Amino acid sequence: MTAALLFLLFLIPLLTAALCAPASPARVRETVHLLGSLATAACALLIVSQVVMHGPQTAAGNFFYVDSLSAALLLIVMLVSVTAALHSIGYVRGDVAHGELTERRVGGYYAWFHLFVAAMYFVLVVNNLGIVWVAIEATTLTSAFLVALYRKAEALEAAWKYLILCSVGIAFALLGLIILYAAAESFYGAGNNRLDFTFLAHTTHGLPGHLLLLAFVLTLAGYGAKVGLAPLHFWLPDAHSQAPAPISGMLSGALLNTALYGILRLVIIVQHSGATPLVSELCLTFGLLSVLVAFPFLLLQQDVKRMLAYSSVEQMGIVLFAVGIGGEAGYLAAILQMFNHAMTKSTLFFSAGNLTQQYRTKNMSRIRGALRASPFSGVVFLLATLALVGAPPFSLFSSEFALSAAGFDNGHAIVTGALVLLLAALFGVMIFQMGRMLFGVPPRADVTRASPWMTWPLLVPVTFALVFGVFIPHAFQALFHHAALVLAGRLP
Amino acid sequence: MKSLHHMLCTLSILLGLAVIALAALSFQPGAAHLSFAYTILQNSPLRLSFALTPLAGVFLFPLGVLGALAGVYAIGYGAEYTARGHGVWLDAGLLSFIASMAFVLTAANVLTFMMGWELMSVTSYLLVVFDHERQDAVRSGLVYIAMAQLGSAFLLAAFLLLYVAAGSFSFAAFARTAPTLPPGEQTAIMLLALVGLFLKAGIMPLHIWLPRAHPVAPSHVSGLMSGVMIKLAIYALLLFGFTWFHAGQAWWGELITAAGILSAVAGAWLASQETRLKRILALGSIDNMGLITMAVGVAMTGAALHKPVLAGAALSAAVFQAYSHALFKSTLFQGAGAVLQGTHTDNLNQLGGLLRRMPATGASVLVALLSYAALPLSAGFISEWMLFSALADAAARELHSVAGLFAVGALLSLFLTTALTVLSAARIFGVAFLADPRSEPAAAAVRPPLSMRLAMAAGASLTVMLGLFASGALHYINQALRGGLLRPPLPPAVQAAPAVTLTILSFTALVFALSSGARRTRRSRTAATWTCGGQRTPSMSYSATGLSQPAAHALGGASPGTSFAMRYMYRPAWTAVTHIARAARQIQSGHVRSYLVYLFATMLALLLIAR
Amino acid sequence: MNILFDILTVALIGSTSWLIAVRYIASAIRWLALQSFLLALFTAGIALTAHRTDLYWVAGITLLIKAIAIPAILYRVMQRVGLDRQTRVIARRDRLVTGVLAMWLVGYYVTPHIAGTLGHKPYLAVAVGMLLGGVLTMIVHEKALMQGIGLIVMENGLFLAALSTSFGMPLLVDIGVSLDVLVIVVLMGLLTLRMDEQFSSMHIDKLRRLRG
Repeated sequence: MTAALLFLLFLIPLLTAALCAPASPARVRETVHLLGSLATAACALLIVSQVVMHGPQTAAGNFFYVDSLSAALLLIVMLVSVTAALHSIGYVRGDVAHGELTERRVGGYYAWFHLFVAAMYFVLVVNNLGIVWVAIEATTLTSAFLVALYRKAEALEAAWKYLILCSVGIAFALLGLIILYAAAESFYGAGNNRLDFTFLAHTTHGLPGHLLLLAFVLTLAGYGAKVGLAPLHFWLPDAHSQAPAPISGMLSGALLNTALYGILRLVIIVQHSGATPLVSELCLTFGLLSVLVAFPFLLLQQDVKRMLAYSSVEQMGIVLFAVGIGGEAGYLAAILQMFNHAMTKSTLFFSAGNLTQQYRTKNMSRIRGALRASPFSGVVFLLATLALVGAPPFSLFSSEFALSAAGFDNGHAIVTGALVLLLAALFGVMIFQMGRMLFGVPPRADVTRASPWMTWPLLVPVTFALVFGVFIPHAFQALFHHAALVLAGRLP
Repeated sequence: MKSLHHMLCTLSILLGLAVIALAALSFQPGAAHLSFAYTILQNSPLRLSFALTPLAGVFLFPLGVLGALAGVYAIGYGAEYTARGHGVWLDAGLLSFIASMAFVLTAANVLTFMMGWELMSVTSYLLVVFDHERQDAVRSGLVYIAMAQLGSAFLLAAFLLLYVAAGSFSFAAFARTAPTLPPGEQTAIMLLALVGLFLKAGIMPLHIWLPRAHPVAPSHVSGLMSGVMIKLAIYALLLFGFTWFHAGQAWWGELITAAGILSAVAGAWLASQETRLKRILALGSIDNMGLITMAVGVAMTGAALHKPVLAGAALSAAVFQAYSHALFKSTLFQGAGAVLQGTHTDNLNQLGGLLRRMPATGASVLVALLSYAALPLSAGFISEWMLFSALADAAARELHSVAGLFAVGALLSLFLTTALTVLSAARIFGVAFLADPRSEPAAAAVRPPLSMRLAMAAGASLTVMLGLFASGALHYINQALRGGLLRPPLPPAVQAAPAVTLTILSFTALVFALSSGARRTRRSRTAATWTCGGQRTPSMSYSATGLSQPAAHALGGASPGTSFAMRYMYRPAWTAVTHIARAARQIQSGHVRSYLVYLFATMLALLLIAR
Repeated sequence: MNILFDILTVALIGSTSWLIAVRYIASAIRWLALQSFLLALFTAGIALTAHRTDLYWVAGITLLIKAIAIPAILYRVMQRVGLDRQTRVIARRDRLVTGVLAMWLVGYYVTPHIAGTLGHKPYLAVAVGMLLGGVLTMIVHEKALMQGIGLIVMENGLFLAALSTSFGMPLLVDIGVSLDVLVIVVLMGLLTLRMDEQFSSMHIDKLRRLRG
């Protein structure tokens, strides 16, 4: 069952991509894209439900391994990508209407979209950490095409920086994996499974601490470059702001978490062999630094998508901070924060995309009175901003509360206090930036209306962002708890 | 649209009534067992828990009353917005604002409290920026929400420290553990909480958001913000100070008293110099919050020094002051809203003669102003008399200690504040409602619809009733406070109040009779005002600026206060932040090679660390 | 046999050091091809001595992708770009070579604990040195293609690390990594060409529109 599903999970996107590229009438292409996206999402959802109901799944002779942690991330990627797929239809139509894209490149867009989604899914379901690395690099490559989609100078520049910085960063992660592999081979002899997560997380005698630590540090910084941790985040605002809005939403909502997944797997392995305080300290430092570094850029930002991108830097910092706090409570907070941030930030990018397309500018001082000019996107943007800054009853409030409680509980009172204060300051900053766009009188009357493809799909993530603050269905609770237990190394 | 508007307003009224019922319930003996919990996420701190306590009941009561009145007022006030098509959002906002405050008061653990607290901030922020086409509304709202959020962070830190000590998030556990903590930790928690609460209460110098945000909100919301929301900071202060820390150390109370003194005097002073009606009222809230805080401070000092009688008197004075301020301030804001809607300005210097155009509003405002100015027969008089007697008592008993010094200071500031408040009240009524209209819109003022008049009249008559049945109200308050905070019986300070009222009244009557008798013997006659032979124009009458001129001269010219805090605290801090941010932004230089350098350096450092 | 490995290692060090200071992009590409060829040779040598048949495959793939395909792609791109064929560096070339040599010192300083446990001391140090040297190459060169070359040097360093500590990564991973590298080079080539269209130059300091 799971094996077939996993097979379909990659077959469908590849097929869709192959069909989308040449399909000539726009209607046909959109239909193929829509059906392909929904089918892929259904597969992912079924895999997640298998994990929730029957525990970890393996397939193809241990090549695939899906546990609750990967299931939680699969769920995130699924929700974000399916919303992005729906939003894409309207957004791309708008771009074509405005002459930003030619029909020919639209085919490429949809093809790369599906390859990108497939690459992200692939990261989450394979067992071998080396293959995980290959897949994470593949996400960079597939999304780089999407970042460079508008062949403008800025898009080119963003794609170049994205490619260079992520590839260099991730090379160091590979060195970490090589050291890990070498350690496993020299202590347990050669074998096919030496780089499998299932092997490394359950080694009988553990692995030498200093090697593991080095491997962890290298992966942390290497994948950290792709997660957007300061000071390795410099590509992030460029790439996220230049990509088409649906892709920006996926980059921030899904891809960053997928890259973080690479770090989380190492966290589990390091813990298994006796966690050192340095691991936690490094996570806390990088986390807090990311929040701190994002602050001035959020404060003085003029470009709405760059602002959202910097906020992603900040949010991933918070997630890593929660990982650094550790313990079941800290990991639970991290998982919640990842999920909630993905829902919120993707909503924000999508609705910001609507606004930028309607106003034909990304400059926040020229987007004015959006609440009047574009009520649906405006209200969604307002709600999502409130959610993002952690206002109740939205879900990020709950997860940030859980995070600060865990931080104080685990003896990190001072850094957690500093984080709480920073987040409060960022609250004001984000509200300021939001107010500039939403409030006031619209500049001109001829702001175009958004297509229904660009509006209604946003209700999916924004509902998650709202409802999960006060109500989490039982299945989701189980999934999040199990994922936290996996992270804490207490669950196979 | 219109029916939805009416339905939402009715819901607000019903919610208000329900809150009153909750308040009544919380005074019942078995109320402590009424609790309710809801788990958001298993095995995590994400759990909501509600309970009713007498102390919360004390604050639930004004919330319910003012909430219901605001609901009534909104029917008429929101009609204009509904006609423009977005009035429903205002009603929904009002409803959730009332609900969020009830949330705070019924909270029995940290998450519930913080959720309600921030919900309250956020909904009120959205209501403040409701007229977002106005630039000043957006800017004021921003200052408000930014400061509210900073306050929440401090409060959360205090709560989390308590949580670590108590090992639980429930308020019941806090009450058990907090007094046993080492003094240093207690002080740390209390100071963190004080910053957070003072920010919410608008205590100087953390007040700058208040005179910005309160005036720009829709008027019934301003009334709720001034009347109830900022009082919730007092509720939380009582939770921390009494329920959890049992008054702690004497200097805490003294610190609180000092902050209260500063706010009371400076707030009243600023209010007496301001010419915009809603700003006067907002600044008046700072002064009243100062008085309340001052009384709480004296009560805490008294309790810490084991002087229960003194503490009890000050505490009930504080609560009674909170009650009377809630009632009259919400009525005044509603009156200001009526004036604003009728004339489209709230600048006193452009108003005038409104009593003739809107007599019902004028009458309600007059009654509320009597309380504002603490004139006899009003609730405001009783509350300030209680404050006076408690402070005088404290000053007399503790004359030879530091605590006494603070009590004396508080007493002096009470005198000064009262005098300045009388001036403010006289300006409001004298300039806006009496004399001749000073502008076209004022001359064409439209009287408010029935629902608004009804709400104001109800508020005004409740103020009168609070004054008349002060001892009854105080009985309940004392009972509730005794259950929650202080064991020993409270002295009925209020019993002296009727006697004093009578004395002052008869004295006033005597003076009045003597002077009118004297005038009659002098045989005065009424004639037209002397205008040097020219045409009499409305601008010849006393303006608001003119009325406050002597006081300004007496106290040395330009007004200090807000600009002082702005000049020496907020502006430099803001400049520093933006400077640093601008400098820090240079790291994103655009050079891909410099980014590689950062990456290289990070990797090198990590390799050396993990070696 | 060991002497062969030592000679190869020295050659790797030499090629990396030379690459940072090279004057013409064309010669840099040739040096890169040489380096990859040496690495393939290294792999084959290990396959021979350790009797690991799978490593022959790896050697073949390395030869095919890194020593032939990638240089060919880079060369095509360079030819399409036109006249812009000289490298540009930010510092004097002798200092750059000194800088790369310093990276080997770092490599030696960082690796003894690892190498002590795993027992392949000099190669791992060289690998780390190549990794850091690759980044350094990317930092000091101002032409877009040279950044691609720096990246391949890094990948070569990683390959050496894997080879010297555990006879290479699992075959599947090696294939995946090689394919990734190939795609990166293709992508970089495409971007470089487009950069040339936009700015008539492949000077990466032209890429400075996105700031703050």
